[in-house]
Amino acid sequence: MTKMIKTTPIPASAETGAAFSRRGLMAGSAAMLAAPAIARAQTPAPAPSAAPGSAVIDVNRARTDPIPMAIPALTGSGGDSDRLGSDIASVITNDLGHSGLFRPIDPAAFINAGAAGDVPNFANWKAIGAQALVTGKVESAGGKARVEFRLWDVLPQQQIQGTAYTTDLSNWRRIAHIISDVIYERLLGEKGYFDTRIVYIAGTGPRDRRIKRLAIMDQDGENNRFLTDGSFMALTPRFHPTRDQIAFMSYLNNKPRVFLFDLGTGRQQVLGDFAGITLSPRFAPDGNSVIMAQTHGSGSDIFSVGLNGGGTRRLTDGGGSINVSPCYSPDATQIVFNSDRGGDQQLYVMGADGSGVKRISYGQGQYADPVWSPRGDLIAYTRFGGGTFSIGVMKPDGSGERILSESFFCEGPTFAPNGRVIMFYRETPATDSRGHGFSAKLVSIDITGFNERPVITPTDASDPAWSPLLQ
Amino acid sequence: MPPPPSPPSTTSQPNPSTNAAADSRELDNTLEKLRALQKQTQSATARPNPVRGGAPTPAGSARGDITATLSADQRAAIGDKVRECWTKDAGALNEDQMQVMLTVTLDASGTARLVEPATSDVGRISGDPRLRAFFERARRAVLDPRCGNDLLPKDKLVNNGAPNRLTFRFSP
Repeated sequence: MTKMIKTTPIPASAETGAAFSRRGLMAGSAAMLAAPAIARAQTPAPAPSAAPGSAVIDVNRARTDPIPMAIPALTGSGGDSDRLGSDIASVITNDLGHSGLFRPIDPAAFINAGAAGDVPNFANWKAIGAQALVTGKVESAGGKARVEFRLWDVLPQQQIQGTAYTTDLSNWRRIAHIISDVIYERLLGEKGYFDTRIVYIAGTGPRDRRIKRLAIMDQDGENNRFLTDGSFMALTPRFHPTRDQIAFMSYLNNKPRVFLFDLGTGRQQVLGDFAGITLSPRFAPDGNSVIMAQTHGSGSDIFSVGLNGGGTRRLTDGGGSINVSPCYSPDATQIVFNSDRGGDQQLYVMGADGSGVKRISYGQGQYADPVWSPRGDLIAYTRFGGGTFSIGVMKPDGSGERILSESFFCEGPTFAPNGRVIMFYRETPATDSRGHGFSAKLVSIDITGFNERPVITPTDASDPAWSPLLQ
Repeated sequence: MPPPPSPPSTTSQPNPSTNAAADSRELDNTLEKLRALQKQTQSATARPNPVRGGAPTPAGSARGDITATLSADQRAAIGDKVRECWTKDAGALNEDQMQVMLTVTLDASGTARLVEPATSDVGRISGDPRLRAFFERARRAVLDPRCGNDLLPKDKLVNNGAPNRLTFRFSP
């Protein structure tokens, strides 16, 4: 997962500064906000209210609307770089457009897109309603590419970001995703999620003899490859938070156990040596341990298993109840899991040491597959009841429950690393006994419940898991 | 017949350089001359740059701010106009708790030209990327030609030589 990409910041164009000095009124804001320094995210401090007796114009009741932006092809220096400039712009357009938070403007509307490196003709971009503009240029030689981009805030006429990347030509898609992440972060104030991958279970063949292989792809569905050969069934893969490793449930030799798969070497090793079946693994946020369930008799309990020689620790003692699907909070102080200890499957939260168990789900139906958002504010889950399955979210205390998507069958939610998008899978019912009509597809949806999109895979797909941002 | 003599070059230097000879002190000489040219020969005309907006204006508003001279209905009408372009990122963390105060400077036609965070908000905005994004959305709303043009009719502008400013409070 090594990036091998050199990053160079590009200062605001000197020409832009001159333009502002002539503009008089505009100069103040340009000088104050041109620096793109991004401080650590934090809860906003209480806003100071207007002084008593002072008058203000209140503007509230904002609409939710994507930011209209123009992304013309990056200018090439001839040869392959022309096509590369166009391809990179296309990937950025898809990334940002699919997020639902940006509205790329049709290039057919562009008025004299202009050359890279120049200060844009802001009037032309303002005229087509663009509020943000991406310009850039590409140079390629000897198998290397230098990609430079600038992000402009059109209305105040400011360059608000400028960065150049140098890397192997073969890395061009990653460069495009990295630029998308930079734009996302600069315009929204939150990390992006485009330079990431999805590991999932690829399904092929008839339903009664389904071949389930571990597969991996970029978050936009590109660069798909299979990691296992289908000779054994693989389920519930999970990315390691910092290493190129995947934990998954393997049916190698028809014995279900949790394995670690090393993406660099392809090596697989069994995780822990348990008498019962081990299932539903998830890494701790620091990557030094895995929590998972282990069956015993008719029940199952949750264990923490240290990696690199760490010990095993039992976290639940369900007395025969089923305790499965554990997931740490991002600060590793709590664990959400699924248990039938109260009579039917519900969600519970406990301390990381197993103390203080409390139920958090109280809606109608049964709950499963809880997963804690990387930003800590939500828990996503699968709910089934009333003949349908749903993907929903609730706050960690169980309040604010919202159903995001409902269908005949859906499950397996996974968060993007910035906590803004959830991916899950949805199955359609078979229309006959031979399984015709059945399909399993990946779907992504924004946490607000809008912008549901299919994720294209070469085969049927299930059990998605989103990687952290690549290093 | 020989050709007539060429006219004198218009690009040649009319006066010989006083520093024609190669001299390690050439740069020093040049700097010395520049300093001499910049030497102050008249009394200073500069005056202290006042705090943004200057002293209270005759209209009774501090720092050129004419918001208080507007009626509640006029302020509401301006707010309604800008609201048409006011958008939010509904999924942003703690978005419902965000709020920024803006100072908007109008030009002679009453159109928003410069949008700055209120002094009290500058520190918060520079230290919080989410709040900065929130501020920049507010700025786009005010600068959007659909919503920020002709915010005030000319007869409402105070013509006292100081820029007219309005104070906005944006919340989701």
